[in-house]
Amino acid sequence: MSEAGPSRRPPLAGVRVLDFAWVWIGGTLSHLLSDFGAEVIKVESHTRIDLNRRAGPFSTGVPDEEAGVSFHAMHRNSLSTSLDLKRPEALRLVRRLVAISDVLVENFTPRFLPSRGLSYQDLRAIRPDLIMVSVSAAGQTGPSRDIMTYGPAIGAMAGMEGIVGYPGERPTGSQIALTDPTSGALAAFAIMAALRHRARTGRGQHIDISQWEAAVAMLGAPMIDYFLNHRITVSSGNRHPWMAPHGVYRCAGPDQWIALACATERQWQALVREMGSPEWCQAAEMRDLAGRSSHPESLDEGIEAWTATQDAMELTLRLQAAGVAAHAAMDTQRLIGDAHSVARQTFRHLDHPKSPNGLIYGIPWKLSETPGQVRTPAPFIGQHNLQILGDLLGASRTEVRELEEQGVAY
Amino acid sequence: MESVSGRAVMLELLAESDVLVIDRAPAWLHAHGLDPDFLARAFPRLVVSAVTPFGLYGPYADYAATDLTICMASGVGMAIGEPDRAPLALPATISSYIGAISAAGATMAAVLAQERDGLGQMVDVSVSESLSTLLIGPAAVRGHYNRRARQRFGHRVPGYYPDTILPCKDGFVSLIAIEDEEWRRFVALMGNPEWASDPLFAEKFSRYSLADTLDALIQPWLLTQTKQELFERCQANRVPTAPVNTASDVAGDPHLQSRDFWWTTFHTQLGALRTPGAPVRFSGTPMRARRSAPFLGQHNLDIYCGVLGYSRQELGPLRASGVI
Repeated sequence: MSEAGPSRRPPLAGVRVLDFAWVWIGGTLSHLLSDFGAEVIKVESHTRIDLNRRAGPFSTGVPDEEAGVSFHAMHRNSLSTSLDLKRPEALRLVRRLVAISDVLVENFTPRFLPSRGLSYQDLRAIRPDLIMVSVSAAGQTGPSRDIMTYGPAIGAMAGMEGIVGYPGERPTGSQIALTDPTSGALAAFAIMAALRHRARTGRGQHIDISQWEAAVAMLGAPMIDYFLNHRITVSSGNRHPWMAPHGVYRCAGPDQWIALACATERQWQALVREMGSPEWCQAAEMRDLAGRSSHPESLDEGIEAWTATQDAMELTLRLQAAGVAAHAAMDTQRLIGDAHSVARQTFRHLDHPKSPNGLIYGIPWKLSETPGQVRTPAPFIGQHNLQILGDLLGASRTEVRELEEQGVAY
Repeated sequence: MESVSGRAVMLELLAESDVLVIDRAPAWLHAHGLDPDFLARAFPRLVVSAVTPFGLYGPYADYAATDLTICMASGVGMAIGEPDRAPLALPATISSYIGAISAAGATMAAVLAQERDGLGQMVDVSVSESLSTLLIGPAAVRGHYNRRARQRFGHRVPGYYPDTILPCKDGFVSLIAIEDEEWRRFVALMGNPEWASDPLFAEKFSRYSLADTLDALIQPWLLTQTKQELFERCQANRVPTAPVNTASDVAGDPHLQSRDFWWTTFHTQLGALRTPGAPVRFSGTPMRARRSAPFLGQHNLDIYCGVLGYSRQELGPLRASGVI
């Protein structure tokens, strides 16, 4: 998958996205679109800094809103114009930008943009075929639409965090705020579906993503189990309803683990052979799935006694060779340097003025003929004011400077 | 697909298709004569979307996998659970679901290029890599600069406090009051207890270093209230706290109901079946559940006679020989 000179234009070439979304949703959405050729213009301001710019660590080693390493990773390829949305003149400029944009994305609380005269209805009057995406905690309508949340709270409300934990114990939750990046990825998908519709009909539309609903949609099996059987799913650790063994077992060395799962009797037999057919595996309750499922403690104990003295990576190779689904639990440091990550450029390097050869994560979508591209480093705040307010909106160099001096572009 | 004529029928179908979605490892594709090079030559307009555990290339491409092993291979599992205990996988089939969202986006990009250029391509989405980039990528990058892998922090989000799950009267709440003003409003809600005036607790990062102490101080107040009471009181006071809902709480939630979130489809055996609805609301092209999930082969007649133009007589031998 070379990135040099793809013969075909990127899928989103010629698509201009006005990006008001921030933190993790904004960052995910921004690079998924810009990696594939969209011109993503981040509209931000020193008066409302993207929290992601404030998140350390910083490539310079000291707090610096231009040196946040996770901002660098997520905002590769984007442009930045600094507009203070509290200033009426800035709102006028936003309207003019909307008129020349294909897509607008935002994750303000639902009342904010309408209060600035920038509701979908307002913006459609300026740009009739606009595709507008609003991502919020609970959606644009309904009694709870104004709730205030962070990512982990949304997973909690959706019934996701409550089923993460060790069997029979209190929930720990995943605590990784996964509803943020998944909403960003969904929004990227939705924008492309809407672009296809626009190409066919000339019509734009407003897309309402409730992070809460999007998270519940990931929980089809637990929800249907409730609706059909009135069963409430609780945390069961790494156990599985119809696979046993199915767990993560300690290996040699500090915090070293291997995950393994047997979906079939053949895989179980292969595992037993690899373990050297120990006596405990011959016990009556270990002979079939039903028996193993109802004796998870002794099953896990037996397996862990075997894994505990072995290297997780070597054991992975050996069990894979025997046909057993197994994999060492990778921590993020090991993951970055791992041969498979390297082969797929799951992580890669990018020069940024504040971070020479900085580390970023890569492009998750590998398209053979229109591959994603990392072209430019993350922007400074307002770095592209001249290009955007000047070249696109027709302001002169002096006028752009005045906007900056007056704090409209700040 | 395991029979020779099965492959021939499938090739006929591919000639009529825009997108092929496939979840088999590269070794399987080669063994069945469906390797990417062949498909690209035979069907230049086809988008082939391969969504597999580890992708179509790289040393683990042919590894056997389940949601559990993928979650652990991706780097996500090692961030979930308690520090000194086994890492935990994402529950249910969330890992696969996220791989599917990722693949849906990648496929749409290829479809847009297909409609513009009249040409297809190979789309290779690794579920594991989707998790490694989208879910844990930023934390991995931060860990690289901190020279320390992302750790597990049990029931807390690391770094600041409180962003944690704690018990209340009838279950658990996701207690979040991170920023100064959020914390002050939360302390006021608790009735400004004496202990809260300790300057050690004034700042979110120092609060995190005293998280065990604070859990114990806050706990008694939480235990006097239900998760719904806490949710309502906190939200009314702009404290971003939420209930840890069970499936039954989610099913009965008035907000989700008011947005008509739930879908009902009619299944021949199960009757009316309620499921989660659309994860995305399009104003112009709303997603709909047009039918329930099909039985295996339910639409054979429509596809082989309707799309490929077989006669019913031709279908008989294909059925009898087990091709379909």
